[in-house]
Amino acid sequence: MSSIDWIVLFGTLLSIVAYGVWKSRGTKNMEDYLKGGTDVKWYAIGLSIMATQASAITFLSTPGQAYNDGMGFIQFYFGLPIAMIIISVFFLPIYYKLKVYTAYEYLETRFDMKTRMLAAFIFLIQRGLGAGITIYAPSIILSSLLGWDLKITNVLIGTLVIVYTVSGGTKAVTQTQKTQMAVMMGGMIVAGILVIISLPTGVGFNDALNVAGKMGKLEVVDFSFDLKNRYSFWSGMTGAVFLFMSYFGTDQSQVQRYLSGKSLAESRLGLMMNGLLKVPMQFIILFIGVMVFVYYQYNQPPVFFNDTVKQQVYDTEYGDDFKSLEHEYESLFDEKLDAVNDLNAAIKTENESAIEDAQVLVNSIQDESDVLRDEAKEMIATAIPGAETNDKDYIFMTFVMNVLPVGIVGLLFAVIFSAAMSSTSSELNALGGTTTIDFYKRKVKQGESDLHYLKSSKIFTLAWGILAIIIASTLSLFENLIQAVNLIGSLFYPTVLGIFIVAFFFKSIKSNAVFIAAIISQLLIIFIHYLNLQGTAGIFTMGFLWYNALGCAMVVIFSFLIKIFRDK
Amino acid sequence: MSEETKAAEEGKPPFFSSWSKMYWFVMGTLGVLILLFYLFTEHYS
Repeated sequence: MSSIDWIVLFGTLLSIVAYGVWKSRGTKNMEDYLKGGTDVKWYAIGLSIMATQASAITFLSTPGQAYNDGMGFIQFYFGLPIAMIIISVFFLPIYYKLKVYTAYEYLETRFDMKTRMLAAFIFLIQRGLGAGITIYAPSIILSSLLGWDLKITNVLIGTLVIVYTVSGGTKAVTQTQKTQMAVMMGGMIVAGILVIISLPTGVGFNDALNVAGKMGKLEVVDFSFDLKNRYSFWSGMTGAVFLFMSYFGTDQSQVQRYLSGKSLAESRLGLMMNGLLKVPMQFIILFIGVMVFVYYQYNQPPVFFNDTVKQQVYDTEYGDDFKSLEHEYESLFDEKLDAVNDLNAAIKTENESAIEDAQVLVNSIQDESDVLRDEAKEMIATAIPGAETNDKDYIFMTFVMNVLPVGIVGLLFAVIFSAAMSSTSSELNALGGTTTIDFYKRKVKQGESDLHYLKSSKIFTLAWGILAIIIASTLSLFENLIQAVNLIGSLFYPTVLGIFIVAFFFKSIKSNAVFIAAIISQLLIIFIHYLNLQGTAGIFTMGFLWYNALGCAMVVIFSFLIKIFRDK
Repeated sequence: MSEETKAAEEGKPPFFSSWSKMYWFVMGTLGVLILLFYLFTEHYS
């Protein structure tokens, strides 16, 4: 990167940190620290909710996902507006009425302390892991692309977040997220415009869409019903609704955002803003990934997008074989380029049979290219045992570094950093708050002064920040980072959501029934996931998004069965 | 202005006379988006 890019990157990041510290300098009690003084306006709540969910993973993995698999991933977000409405109608009024700091406080009012502790404990486990991943995601990219040490990168990101989150709490998190969202969306819109401008002369926007469409990248909606299909209209409208209800309704990192609202109406509007804007926002990010794919139909892509790993392979005994594979891939690209040009020409003349012939040829060469890419990955795995062979998360930033102009590269790196910082700050803020309110204040030290709990919150937030850095430093890459986060959520959220569903809608069920049901359901979900990994799940073979509906249903059903059994 | 009236006014969403109308607007927007995505898929596939 050029010196201008470094200035843009660090100038943006340090300005955000300084702004957060400065705007939250008056924080001196628990109300300010954990609820942001409860004077936040709806648009700031909406931006904060969106910034919390939009981690670096969103900007690294999503374009790569579109590059490889097209735009079908958008369907995952169809359930989000529905979840926003359900939370606004049922969850939010109760949280406001009870004036809680954390969602789990309500569970003690409704059930008992142990149920509250169980839900809070599950949150701490899964969100603690999640915080590690949100730091790790940009670290691995930066360390690879810029040749930095991974652990030092983890420490750098974690420290930047810790500085303003520990000092200013919720107020600092909310204020910085407004600027972070501006950087993120501004950067992505600039990237989207530049990728279209980068297409070769003579290839217009509509030509790009035609090529992407004929190569199967613009299949946005799939109405076919198949439980094994991870992303379809039906999984988005059912399984994903449960996941989003759990995440936005019971995960303290999100609940804390809208509890900082000036009033119930402001909080509701913040949720509605997210419900209206999230799907279009994800569409834009996926669309940029598709445009990057089209760019690489006219420009030679690397056979493997992680250049650091590629360089390591060159130094092994497989180096020559790998170079020969690259040469083969380049020859195939020339062949494909001719076919893509023929396809575009056929579309312009509206000659249906020529379009069909060209489409078959392009897709057949694309399949051959994909086979070569798979062979390259296999060779990497053999040459460097344990090396990461998934390069999906490197596609977008490789394009940024190789194609976009000076200054914009720094801005796009700032986008990734800002996204990592915005979600991590909410997570640390919530982890520190939950540890203080649901465990320390409730069980360890009751009746202390507000100042004491304020200091404790800061210490716990700092401790979670350090733990997140340690977790980030010990992770290895999953199949795909965004899926890793969704998987962890899908394993743990259903149980917590089930507890809340029983609390809100089934008043006859008491604490012991729901507590036992929750433990059984959590163990069963983990077991079903294990069986799915082994390929021996039988009728329970399903994509992990379905765990959300299944786990939640299990908690409700088991609660009823236990109640009936105990009543007899 | 009584506290109850104030609370009721504070609780209303902007642009709509009730929250249920706001929710229908959000659902309607989702429906329109899905329809547009479907037409987009059909046109370019």
